[in-house]
Amino acid sequence: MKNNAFRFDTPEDLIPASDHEGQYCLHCGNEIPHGKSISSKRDELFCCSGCNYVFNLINSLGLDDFYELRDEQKITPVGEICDQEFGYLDLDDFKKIYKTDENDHCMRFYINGISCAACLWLIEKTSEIVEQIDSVSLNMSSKVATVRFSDDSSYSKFPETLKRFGYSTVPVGKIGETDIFREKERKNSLYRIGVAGVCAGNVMLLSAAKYAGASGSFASYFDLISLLLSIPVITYCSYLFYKNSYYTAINKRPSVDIPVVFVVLAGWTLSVVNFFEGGDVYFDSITLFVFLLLVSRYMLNSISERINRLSTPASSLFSGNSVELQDEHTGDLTPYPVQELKKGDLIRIKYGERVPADGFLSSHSVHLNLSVLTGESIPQYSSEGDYIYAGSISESDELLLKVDKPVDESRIGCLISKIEDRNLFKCGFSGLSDRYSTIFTSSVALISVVSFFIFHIYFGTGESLRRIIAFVLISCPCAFVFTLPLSMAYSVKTASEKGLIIKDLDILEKVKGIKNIFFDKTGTLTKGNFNVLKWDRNIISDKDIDAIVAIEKKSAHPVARSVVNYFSDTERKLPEVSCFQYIPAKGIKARIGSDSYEIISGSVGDDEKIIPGSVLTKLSVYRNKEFLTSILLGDEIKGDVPEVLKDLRSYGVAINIISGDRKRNVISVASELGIPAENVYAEMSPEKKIEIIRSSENSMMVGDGINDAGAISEADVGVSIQGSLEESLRFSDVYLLRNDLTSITDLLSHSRITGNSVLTSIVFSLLYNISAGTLALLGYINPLLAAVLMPASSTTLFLLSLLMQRQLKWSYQNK
Amino acid sequence: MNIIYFTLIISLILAAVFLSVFLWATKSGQYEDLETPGHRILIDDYKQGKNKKLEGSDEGSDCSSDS
Repeated sequence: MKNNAFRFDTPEDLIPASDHEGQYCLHCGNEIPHGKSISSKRDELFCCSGCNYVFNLINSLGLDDFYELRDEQKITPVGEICDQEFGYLDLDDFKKIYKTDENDHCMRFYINGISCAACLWLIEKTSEIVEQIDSVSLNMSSKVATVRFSDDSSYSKFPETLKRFGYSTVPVGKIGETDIFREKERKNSLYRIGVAGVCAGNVMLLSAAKYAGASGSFASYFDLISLLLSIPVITYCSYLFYKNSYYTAINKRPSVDIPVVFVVLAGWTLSVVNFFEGGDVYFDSITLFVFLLLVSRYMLNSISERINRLSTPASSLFSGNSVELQDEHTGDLTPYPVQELKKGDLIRIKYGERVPADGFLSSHSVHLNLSVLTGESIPQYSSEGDYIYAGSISESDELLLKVDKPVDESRIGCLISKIEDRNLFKCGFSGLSDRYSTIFTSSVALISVVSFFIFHIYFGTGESLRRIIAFVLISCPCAFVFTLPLSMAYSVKTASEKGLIIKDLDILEKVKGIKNIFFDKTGTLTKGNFNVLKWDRNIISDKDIDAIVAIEKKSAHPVARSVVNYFSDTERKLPEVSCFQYIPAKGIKARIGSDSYEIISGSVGDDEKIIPGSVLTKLSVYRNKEFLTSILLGDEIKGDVPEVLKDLRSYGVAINIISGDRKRNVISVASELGIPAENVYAEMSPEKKIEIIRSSENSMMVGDGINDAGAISEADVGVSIQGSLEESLRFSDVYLLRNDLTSITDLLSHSRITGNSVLTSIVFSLLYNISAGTLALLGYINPLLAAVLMPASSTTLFLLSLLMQRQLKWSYQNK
Repeated sequence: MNIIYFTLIISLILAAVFLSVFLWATKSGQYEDLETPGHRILIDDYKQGKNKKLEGSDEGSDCSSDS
């Protein structure tokens, strides 16, 4: 990094070496990956079918101003329009849960993927294009839209409309008491800041006049006004400091509020006494001090609140998806809230939906993707009567489930609640600054009390109080409370702009000490889906490929889907398939014309291990009982992984793989990436992963999905990748927005820069506090000078944190 | 110099006025959402209602095609 410090201003470095063709999606404005463009007519190019659909819809509604507003900005690509159903919102059971107020036709929705003014315009426009919607008001910082409807029966209209515009929505639910309380607290602290600011500003002006030489009746008039102005500051504005220090004193956990209370009360009392008896008054330092503290608290709170708002309760993993409840006698289907499911209910789950409860399979055989629990990437086959776990994803068209344990009691529910209990102790911004300030506070308090009694003997009450106030003012951990968290918060914010969402300030410090990194395999090191890795294209004719695609198209098995996807890059004329038939647990066979084809899936022999990636399945194709070719399918390693691992090793960390997948697959990936066998852990259950992580010191766990959640939350630093942000942040410390692992190296360099800067700040402020504190105790610094020195030291620390911000910027620009 | 007494009181009244404006702004929720109004300025020019009503839904044909 050092050598590159000046490279960032050469423009060549900023342009990626590989020059793409530069085609941009008409709807979302993102660059279209090479060869993936979709065009419906003329020169209209899209990156995906979803963007194409939304573009046509917007234009047909006459809303094309959207694109003028979007201008050069990029929005999230639509992908595939999701198949979420919202009809349940119009049912009475659900209205109770989601309406903001019982007597009002009003609901709130959290909207994913809004980024710019154009999104705001389009979403609020729905009130004009949909009759039943009266008004929409969107708050872009919380991403919550408050929607008012004209009647009580069309709540689903809003999410359904947004779905067609490519946004996914989640109904937020009633405004809870905690929301109201938090909002009130926020307003209260703003009131306090306002009052403290006005008072401190005026008191400072008055005391400036005194420093400039005002004396006599003027001086005492100014002092009187200062005294009056300081009263609201030490009562109304400082109320929370008194309250906090009272509670922390009761719980015997000295907090930074205790010396604050001491300096405010003692300083004020001394000033009042001096006002009447003639002497120095310190109203200016006290009011300014309170104001600065309030501001720093407010800033920290709003950052931590923004991050905490992202976490949601346990069953939210499944809320939003409603299931269809089947009546046992009539067979009628009605939508039903997932949270309200009971034992014995019969529910129907559609293709691609998550099973919302543990229970017994009541329909005939299905394929289930269990990766959320096991990490195993091949969908499993289950037959009627089998016990299936919540969290699995149905890969078959229809699945009937007899509920045994609802979400909260299910295996996955227990896993989540276990993780959440642990995280209660892990959350919040308390960490770093609190720990230092506790030590700091206790020693400052101890020194003040001891020296007060010693000075009392020699100099009398007035002089010793004066010295102690100067000492506490100087050493008040303003630096820790104000600057340090602020620069940490800045670092966290920069990180989030670069796609690293960091939950807690503490994390950056922990990342610095990481010795072992554990990677999950499926979905983290590999792409996590089936792909055709290899097939022998020389010995097979086009006609046979057409036949294979036509047959596989008939099958719903995910392996078949990926074969069809692989060959669908060219236009194919598919022949007619007849006599299509499953061979149980083996494959499929069918006839095309006069030929009979069999596609048998089997295990992979040793000779095929040479292929990069983990080979999972081998399909053998037979025509009229004669072997034609074999197709190998598997999970590919992500392109950037080898380079990332190389970078990580240069930081001196050991790389491990930990996976629930079969040993052979894990080892083949490990050897491909040069990871030694002793660092490979295969066939691990979620519970076992937790044990291994626990026994390893200074560990970082990188994974995706709930099956890693336990391990992620157990690790010193848990990183999750993919999945939904809200879910992941509940158990992990860091969330990677970009689905590539280069972010991990960013995280390491980021934490190093921040850590070094923090260390410098701590060393500086310790040196300053010790030297100036000693001088104050010896009587060389009076409270007035102390009140000047305090902001001066804070400013120095602030400059240090600015330097860090610069360094962070450089480190990203050098990429 | 007696004017000082007068100006000082005037300045304090002014300060009180600004403080009450700030408190009013906070109370009426102007600091709750600092992001949206900035964007809303941009969309003010696009209010004219030339758009059509959205009718029915035509799902199924365009959803969940996985080709």
